[in-house]
Amino acid sequence: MVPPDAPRRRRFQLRAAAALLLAVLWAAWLLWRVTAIQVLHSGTYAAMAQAEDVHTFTIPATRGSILDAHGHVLALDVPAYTITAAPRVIEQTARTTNDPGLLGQEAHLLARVLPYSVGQLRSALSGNSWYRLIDPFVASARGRVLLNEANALPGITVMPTEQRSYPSGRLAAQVVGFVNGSGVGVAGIEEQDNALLAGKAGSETVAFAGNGELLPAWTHKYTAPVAGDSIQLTIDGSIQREAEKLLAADVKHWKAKNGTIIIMDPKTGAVLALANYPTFNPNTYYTFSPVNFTDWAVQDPIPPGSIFKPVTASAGLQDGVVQPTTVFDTIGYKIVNGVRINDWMPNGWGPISFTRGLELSSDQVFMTVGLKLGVQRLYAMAKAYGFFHPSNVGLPGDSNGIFIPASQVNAVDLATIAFGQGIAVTPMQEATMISAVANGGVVMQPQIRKAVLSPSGQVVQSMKPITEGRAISPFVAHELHVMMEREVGYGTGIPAQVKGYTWAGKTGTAQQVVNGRTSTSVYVSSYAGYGPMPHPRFAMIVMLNDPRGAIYGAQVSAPTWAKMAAWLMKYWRIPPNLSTNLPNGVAQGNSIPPG
Amino acid sequence: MTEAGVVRRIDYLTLGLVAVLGAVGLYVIRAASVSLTFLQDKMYFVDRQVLWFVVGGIVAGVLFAIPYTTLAKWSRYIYWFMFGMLAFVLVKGHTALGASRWIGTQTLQIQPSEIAKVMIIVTLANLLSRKQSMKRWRDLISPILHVALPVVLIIKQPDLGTALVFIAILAGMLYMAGAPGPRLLLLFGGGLGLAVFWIYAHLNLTIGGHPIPLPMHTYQLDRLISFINPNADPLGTGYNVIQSRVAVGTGGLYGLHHVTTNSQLAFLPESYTDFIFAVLANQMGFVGAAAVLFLYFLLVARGLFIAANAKDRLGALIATGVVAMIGFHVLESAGMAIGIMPVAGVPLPFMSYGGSALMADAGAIGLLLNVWARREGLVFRVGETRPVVADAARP
Repeated sequence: MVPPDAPRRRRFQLRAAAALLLAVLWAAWLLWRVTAIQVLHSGTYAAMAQAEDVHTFTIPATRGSILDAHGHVLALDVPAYTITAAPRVIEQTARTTNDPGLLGQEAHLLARVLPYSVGQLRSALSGNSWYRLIDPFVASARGRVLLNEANALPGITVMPTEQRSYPSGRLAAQVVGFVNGSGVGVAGIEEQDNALLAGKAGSETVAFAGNGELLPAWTHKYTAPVAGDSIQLTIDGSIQREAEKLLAADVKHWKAKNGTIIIMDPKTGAVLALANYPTFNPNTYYTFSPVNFTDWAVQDPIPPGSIFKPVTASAGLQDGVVQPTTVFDTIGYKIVNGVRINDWMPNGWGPISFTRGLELSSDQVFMTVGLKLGVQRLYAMAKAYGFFHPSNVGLPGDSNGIFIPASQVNAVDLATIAFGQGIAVTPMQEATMISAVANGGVVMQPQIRKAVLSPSGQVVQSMKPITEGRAISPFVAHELHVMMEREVGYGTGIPAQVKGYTWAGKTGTAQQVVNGRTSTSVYVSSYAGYGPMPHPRFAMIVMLNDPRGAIYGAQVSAPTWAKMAAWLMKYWRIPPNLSTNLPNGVAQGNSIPPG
Repeated sequence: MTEAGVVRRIDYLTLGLVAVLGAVGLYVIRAASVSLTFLQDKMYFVDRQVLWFVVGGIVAGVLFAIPYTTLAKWSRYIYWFMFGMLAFVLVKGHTALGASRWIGTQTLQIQPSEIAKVMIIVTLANLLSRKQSMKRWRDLISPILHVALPVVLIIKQPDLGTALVFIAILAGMLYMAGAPGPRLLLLFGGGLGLAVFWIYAHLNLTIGGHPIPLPMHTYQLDRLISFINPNADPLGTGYNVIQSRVAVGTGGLYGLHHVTTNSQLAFLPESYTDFIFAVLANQMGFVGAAAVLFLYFLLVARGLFIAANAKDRLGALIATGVVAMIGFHVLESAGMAIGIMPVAGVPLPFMSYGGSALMADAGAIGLLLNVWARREGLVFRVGETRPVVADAARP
């Protein structure tokens, strides 16, 4: 060994001293940081810690049910369990307990209960994550099996929850709506009355273990949730089912884009059925196109066409501008301000009465009446019937309809509006109008909710019929009844006839507006009517948008209307009056008139 | 001096410091264990750590008993044994948390890269002590290559923390061996600067639409980013950093001295190993943390004193290596817990749970005592009141 020489040793000791100085700086640096964190900012970190291990959870309240008029359940909450996993805890547990087979065991246990394969579950349970959602909704019995085996499942959390279920499936899907994954109603009544149905969520302030598992024993505060109220609809499930069946067949047969049937009680405004097609199943809403969620009855204004003619007739008769017997000389067109507007019948029918004009749905007759009335009187009548403002039926997306402001309506506009072109209204507004005619001129606000029930089923609030006002006098209403009965008996409404019953009705064939222009290929075919006369029990509208192969309301919608009306008569056990002098033979004798 | 005399020259100050740190460590491991919900037996890690202390004592005793000069003579065998061990890990090692660092059976696993730290100290000291001059650039080549070979293997595992310890040992020993300070500053500071620039370039510059390649794992890069801004991903890569600071911060002045499964510590990953300093600060507060830091400072200062008083260059360099290793361990392990160092898996000497680390640290202390006991100077023989010259027996 070479002993270090003196100068070299001296240099070495100098360097050691320098290193010691470095060590002092090093210690001072660490100490300063510890001081900063523990002494100067201790409070900040204490607050962070507090915020971290104590969490407040909301406990979802049981959502109220949605029932039909007879109390059949359309939507309800069923108890379920949510299964989540913390793969990292599984891995740590396996490591510390020297149990490498733990992951496989857990996957096997879960696979017995959950609809996933062992392989799928293995991959879901492995990884470095602290949280993984395995299954948001597991049926109650299956979830309880897992709860009982919780000891064998470290890292798996089974939490009670509620799952929304729609036992009737597609029935009244757009009316009932659905709730999204967060339990918030996003369509139909579920959306409109979300606050009422949702109830008041409770809360639980709990402590967490570091591995993300709950420590139930550490509950600090608990507020019980308040279950939501239930809503009973005016919808009659049986009528609704039949209406949906007939509508689906009709839409498919005519290859229409969509269709709507609304059936109302004229005396109360209660909506007995609201069928839309295409529709969806709210249990599996996520498998459907959002287009199917559209409630065409209230959300999609369409040109009414001749269905609007009773409004023009009401205004004309009410204000004495025209009598049922007033004669018009029909030539197949009318020239308004130099613009020729064609009637649907090229050469007209020659001189006909106003009544016959409604029976045959002469556009020229109604242009003349509209122009005589002027925009103010026509619009006032439309407003009185419930057009130009939302129907207030109590469904989301309730549309005003589309109309030209009165100050901007010129003579050509007025002439076309008089026979139902140049405005757009919702089927619900049409139903409200036709229902008001049936009700002798008294306009009832359409209603879809019958009552609000407490979670225990007690009636909290019973909806009373709401009268919006009187549109026409009983005398004018009677005149209209007669005209519209004749429409079914001798006019375009012949296909709506049902042997033994007297209806009043009106066909409608409207040209759709496509890209801002009135289309000559896309039509809206409707039939609106009520009955049985003289004491109408129902008012009904059948609307098909863009049917193919036939366009006229008489061909497309009236037969379906008749089938539904006949079904209603059987359902309500209203016997036919076979002695009635309804000219059924006319229907057989004539070819189906369009219009 | 006879070999029998060395036992009388055991440095009880160093031993005492280690004993106190180890005892505090057991208390802290116990606290961390309580918060681990997956751990059924809360004394599991404490019991095993006591066992490791016994084993570590034996290792230290062996490394104390064999004169360091003899150890240095075995340098070549030690070096290649270390190389073989590190290579074996890469080929056939146990994987934990994404890295293969262990070899052995299920019940007993050792981490060769920890033990390699002690081996590199001895072999590098041997290499440097034989060099007459450190003034030229080319004098730096052989020591750097000597360390680079194991470092490459360790980075492959991957274990960035241990690789950094090796580099710290190299830097400390080169400096004490007489390499010019400005040159070392240029070398290591420049290396650090280059690494920082490379990472910056990787994140910000592209060549033909592709980022500049970086030979690093994504998680390592993420750790560096979360070191700079832990809140960038507070539940992901920044989680450890934030939880650690919160644990330290909640300790306050005097500490909590109480822990439950619901404790803040339960949020802290690797609380009983790499992040033990955060548990210490949480449980014993500022007072405890400051006291422990002071004890480490004393240990480092004592190590430098031993280095400065070593009999020869070899002993001085071995002591230097031990000081560099322990100093860097404390700086990195405590530093990452309080946010002044990026997260890297480095144990806090004598406190972190872990057999391999404890054996390495104990072995290093054995070397330190070895150097001290065989220093020059006065020695008191049994029954004599006058000191005799210790190296009188030297040939």
